[in-house]
Amino acid sequence: MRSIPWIGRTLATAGTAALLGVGIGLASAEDVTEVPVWWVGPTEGSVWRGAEFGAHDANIVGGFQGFKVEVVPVGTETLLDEGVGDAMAVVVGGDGADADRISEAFPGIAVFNVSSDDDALRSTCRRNLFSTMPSETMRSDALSQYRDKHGEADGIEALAHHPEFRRYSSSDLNGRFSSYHGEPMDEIAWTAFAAFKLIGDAYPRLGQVDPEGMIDYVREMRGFDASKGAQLTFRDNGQLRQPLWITAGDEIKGEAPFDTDDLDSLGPVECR
Amino acid sequence: MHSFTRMAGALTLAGALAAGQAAAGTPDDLTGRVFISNEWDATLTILDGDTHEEIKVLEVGERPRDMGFSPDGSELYVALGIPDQIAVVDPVEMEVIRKISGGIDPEAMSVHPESGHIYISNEVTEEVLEIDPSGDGEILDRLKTGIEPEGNVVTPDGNYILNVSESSHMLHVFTWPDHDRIENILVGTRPRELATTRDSKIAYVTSEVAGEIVKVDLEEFRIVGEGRFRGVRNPRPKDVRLNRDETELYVAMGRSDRIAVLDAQTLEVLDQIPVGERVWGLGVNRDRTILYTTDGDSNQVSIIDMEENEVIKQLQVGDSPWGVIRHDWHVDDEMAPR
Repeated sequence: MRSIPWIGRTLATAGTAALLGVGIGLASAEDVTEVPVWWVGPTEGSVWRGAEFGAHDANIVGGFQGFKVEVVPVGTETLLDEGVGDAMAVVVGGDGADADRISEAFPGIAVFNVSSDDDALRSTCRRNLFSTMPSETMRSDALSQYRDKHGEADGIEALAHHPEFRRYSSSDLNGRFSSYHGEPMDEIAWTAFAAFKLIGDAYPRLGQVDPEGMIDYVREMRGFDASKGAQLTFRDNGQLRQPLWITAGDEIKGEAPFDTDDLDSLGPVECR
Repeated sequence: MHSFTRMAGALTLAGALAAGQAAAGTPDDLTGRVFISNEWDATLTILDGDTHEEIKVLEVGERPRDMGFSPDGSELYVALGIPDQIAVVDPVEMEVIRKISGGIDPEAMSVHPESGHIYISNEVTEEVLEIDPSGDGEILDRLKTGIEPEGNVVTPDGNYILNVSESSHMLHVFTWPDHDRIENILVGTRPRELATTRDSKIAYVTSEVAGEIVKVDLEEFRIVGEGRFRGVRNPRPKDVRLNRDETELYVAMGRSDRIAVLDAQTLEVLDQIPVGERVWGLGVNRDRTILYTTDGDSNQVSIIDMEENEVIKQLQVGDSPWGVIRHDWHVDDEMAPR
């Protein structure tokens, strides 16, 4: 794990760019700016695969626009001790408590919680804390809406993503993920992917490694796209406003919300 | 390959044809028929251009989507997403002549007005392929794009190939014939389609998830206008066409189930025309007085009078109509208007 805060910088040599796998022939090596993002969480398993794939997708754009997102694993205590440096953002794929502590300690950088569905994390309403994972209440609201419409059903779940979901270009996304990793894209892979995709969307529009600008970008953006058929934005409480898929095993049973297109019918909206 | 030498400046395509291209027919040779690709029926529905009555349903191959005519109008090309082919259809005889390679999962296409080569998006490989439609469809070049390349247009002057990458939110500009990618312009989230003015100076790009359209200056390569479809509920713009004098834009609004009519200068909404569910593809007649819309979830085509902005007819076609194109424009007058 890296313990030294990185400085966003322009890479100078073609050799370095090649080493980093920058799309040679797209942006010239002289123009490639490194965009470091701290990663707090496991470096294996689904969540890590999602983070890697999100950075991969961002870096396809980066190949055209002259940047490269670097996923830099770091421990929570190290980060708290040494600071966040000039990183673009922090993504937490482990314990929700880590996202809480880091976002409180470093209010000037965006912290993305991609793994915890604890409602308490949303209720902090911290300006720089964002959750791509749906909250517990979002899930329960989605399941209630489904049951109201279809009656009791055994074994159903409400998920942000499912590898069998095909609409809204999800089949393309699932296909690209499984081609890249040889594994299906499950929910936590998607929530990690979405955070990095958002960072990759923000950087070329901000034009520099700008952590404060990243927070404002997320707060003010008109929406980003992660193959859910909706403009995805964040609520004031930092929760990603998103539809959820009702699933039973490999079967897709429906798309919540039901009988409305109001995404705010799932989970709390206001800060508590 | 090219049968003539490309000349500098405002060489007309009629001049190019006179300079050595194989003799082409006159507009009178064209049938006026309307061809509709039915994505999940493996068919084309073919309408009479005068009566708008169905005259044939042609088995064309699995997952037909975008279409384009050869410069002389003698061949219709249809992208087939599942067998990874392009069907070559005789629009007069209404038969499939042959099938050629289409790369992998071919979707949106445009035909170059001078070379006659097909430029077609391949989502999986993140490329636009240049395909020679003669013979078995040799892939002549691969133009690298961002993630999920979609809408694809050759400018009417033949100088540029324009492509939008859905998941990378960019308009890519490639030169012709060298295929140098000279610009990657960031546009709104999930760009889907585009149209250019007849003089090739302006492109309009729709972005589905952002719910916006941008106007791009193709001389300066910069965005000079942005429209957000105020007054349209849940805007999801997809295909786009210009009217005859290019003062108005017609935009298919997807699951908003309507066509939005915009002022081409201000990009403000002038009118809304309700059509069927999930309207997606658009086509126009030669005079740009009739607009055809594919209403995908209604399995329907709507036909709109572009002067009155009224639906004059709706008819059922196959399963999930995707694209529509009318066989009545000609290369010696102008490109297929889009």
